[in-house]
Amino acid sequence: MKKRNRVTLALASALAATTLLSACGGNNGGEASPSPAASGASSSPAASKEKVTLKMAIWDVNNDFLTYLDEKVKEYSSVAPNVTVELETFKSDGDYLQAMKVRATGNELPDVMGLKPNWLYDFREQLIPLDGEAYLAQNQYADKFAIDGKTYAVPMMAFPELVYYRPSIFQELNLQAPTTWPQFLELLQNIKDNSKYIPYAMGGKDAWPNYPFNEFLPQLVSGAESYLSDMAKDDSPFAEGKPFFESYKQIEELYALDVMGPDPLGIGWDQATDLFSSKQAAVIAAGLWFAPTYEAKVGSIDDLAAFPMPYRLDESEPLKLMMFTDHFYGITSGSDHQEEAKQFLNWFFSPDVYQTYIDAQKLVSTFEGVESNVPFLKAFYADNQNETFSYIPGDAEYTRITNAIQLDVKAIGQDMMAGKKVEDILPALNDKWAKAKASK
Amino acid sequence: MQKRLVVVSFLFIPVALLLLFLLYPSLRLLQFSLTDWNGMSKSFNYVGFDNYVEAFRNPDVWKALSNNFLYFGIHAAFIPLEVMLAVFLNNKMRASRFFRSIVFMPYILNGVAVAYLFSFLYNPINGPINALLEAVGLESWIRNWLSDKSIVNYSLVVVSLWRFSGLHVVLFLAGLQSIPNDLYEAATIDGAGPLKKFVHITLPGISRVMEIVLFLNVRGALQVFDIPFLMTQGGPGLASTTFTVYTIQTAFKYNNYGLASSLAVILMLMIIVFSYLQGRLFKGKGESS
Repeated sequence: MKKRNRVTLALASALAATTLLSACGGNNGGEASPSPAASGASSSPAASKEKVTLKMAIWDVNNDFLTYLDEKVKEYSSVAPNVTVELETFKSDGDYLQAMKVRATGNELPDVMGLKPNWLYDFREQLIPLDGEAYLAQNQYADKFAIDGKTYAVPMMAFPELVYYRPSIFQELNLQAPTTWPQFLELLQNIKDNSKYIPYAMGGKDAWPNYPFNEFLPQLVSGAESYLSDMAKDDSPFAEGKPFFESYKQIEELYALDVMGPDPLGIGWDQATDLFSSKQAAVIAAGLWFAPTYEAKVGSIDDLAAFPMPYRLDESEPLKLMMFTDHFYGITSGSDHQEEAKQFLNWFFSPDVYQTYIDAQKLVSTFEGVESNVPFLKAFYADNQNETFSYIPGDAEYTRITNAIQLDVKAIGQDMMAGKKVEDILPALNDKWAKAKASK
Repeated sequence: MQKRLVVVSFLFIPVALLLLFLLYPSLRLLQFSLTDWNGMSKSFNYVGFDNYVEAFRNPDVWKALSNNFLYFGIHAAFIPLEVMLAVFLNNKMRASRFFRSIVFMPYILNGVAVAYLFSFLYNPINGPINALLEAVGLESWIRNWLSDKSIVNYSLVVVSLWRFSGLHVVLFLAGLQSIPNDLYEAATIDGAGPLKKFVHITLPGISRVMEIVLFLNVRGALQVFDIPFLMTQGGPGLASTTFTVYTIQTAFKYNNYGLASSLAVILMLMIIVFSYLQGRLFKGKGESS
């Protein structure tokens, strides 16, 4: 009996060893294989004729845009007959990010991937520098997002962050678009006093719709595009008197006015936009990307206008307009076909192709010499000539600290809507921040 | 010898699969829980038990865990009711088959569908629950079901109850049906009343099922994820965050795979410990009676 047990044990351990070894072997094979293939492709001209499939991934809420892009990348086969581009699309950036992170660990990223500016630091190890490519000189924003002097991805679109309103409601109640924070609060209060419309449509249940306030206001109030990275150098960035605290006091005032309908935390973004589109609510803040969504719902943009977020306290300060850059494209370092991917991006960023991209997005062009045809935007700029303020994500140290303390400014926004006071939130955050900053 | 060869070759695939998909990932999980891996970079540092210390020190983890215990407590309090319902359904009542399938229905429904269904019911604007309260003149009962921090967890537990009680009832029903009728007949002849029959025949008869249900409850309550994640994303703030939601967010939102892995290990240990304790408690009772 004992002998048999021993045999079983030996067999089992042998099994375990082979399984583990085979698992490791698979891993090594996967990591080792890219290099010979890549060098083969670049060295011999004969190899470049071999059939290549480039994988590309992107997210977008707009289905029409994704359909357009799927069609567009197929056209590349007429430029480079041996290359087929396969596009994988996601509807939400959250799902996309999760999928890409999982694939990054398995070395399974697509050859060309889309990124948001605040993911660049996380993915920089997985991307190759694009420096030296001709299109970089044409891109107006790419160099702002360089990491240690290297450009890893190129933004395809930019859009201003706006506060939308229904002009017909403003006319009916005899209201003017505000340019300062006190005017903004007064405006919302006036709409509330009239009691016919919900002043502001907030989809607080989803947390993220409060980003124009809880995420962007501290940056705007600070006046420095490098604000987030500057925070990482400060031991107590949430202290009284500093931009974060001051802007959060402003936001607190806004939330305390109770101008966001009966239950702002009970409804999500879709319901909030429904309220706005069906003219039950008068004001909503979002990026320019919201205008096409609105147009699709309502059928026209006749009764839609916008003003810049009026964050300043009085008219003596300049009012800057937050500009968000998005849809960054980069080439992954694990790709077997980096050369083909580079050539593809050269085609993808060329003016003719790019013009169709930006028109499908209905957003602002990031390339010099290409203008998007967006009537709404033209009307907005005719009324508002503001200096732009680029959203620049925090650096590696900022990312490290915020991840360590799990800083979620949008969840703090929810807490504030639920009535929590700034004085009860920020001091504790300061302590956590200082500790995380010190522990390196 | 040949027999042994056959046995080994038949066992090879299941054992290999088990090692590959269960043991190997678990060992990796243990390994990651001792590192500061961010989930993406190719290298990481070993940090000893720092992640475990951090997990125990973090008040948000405890807050999340206390939400889990709310699920556990309320579900446990409903078990007697579920047993009662099973007893009713086991009796020869009219259309008991129909009711049995009705009771089980919520469990078959897709969890995502259930979450959306209840999100709609709780909706503050034109939501059916508030509309119903208004219709019967109970306006004062109307609440912000998913946005009031003191209520949101109860609202979510109700969804969980609605979804999982049916499964418990059906399990109890199976237990009840496995008790031979002779026992009840003998007890009737000996002059035992319905209560005595219930305590001395029914309860011991379903003790195995009870054990399973209690285990499912511990496991389910500690792992509850889809309902809060889909209905509130753990909000407002962290109000309805559960242990698993917190773990997922630690890993995927804040790129802290080390800490998330240690939370997963802690969760595993908690389930084992609680199930063991519950088993001991229950067995002790069963033997004494």
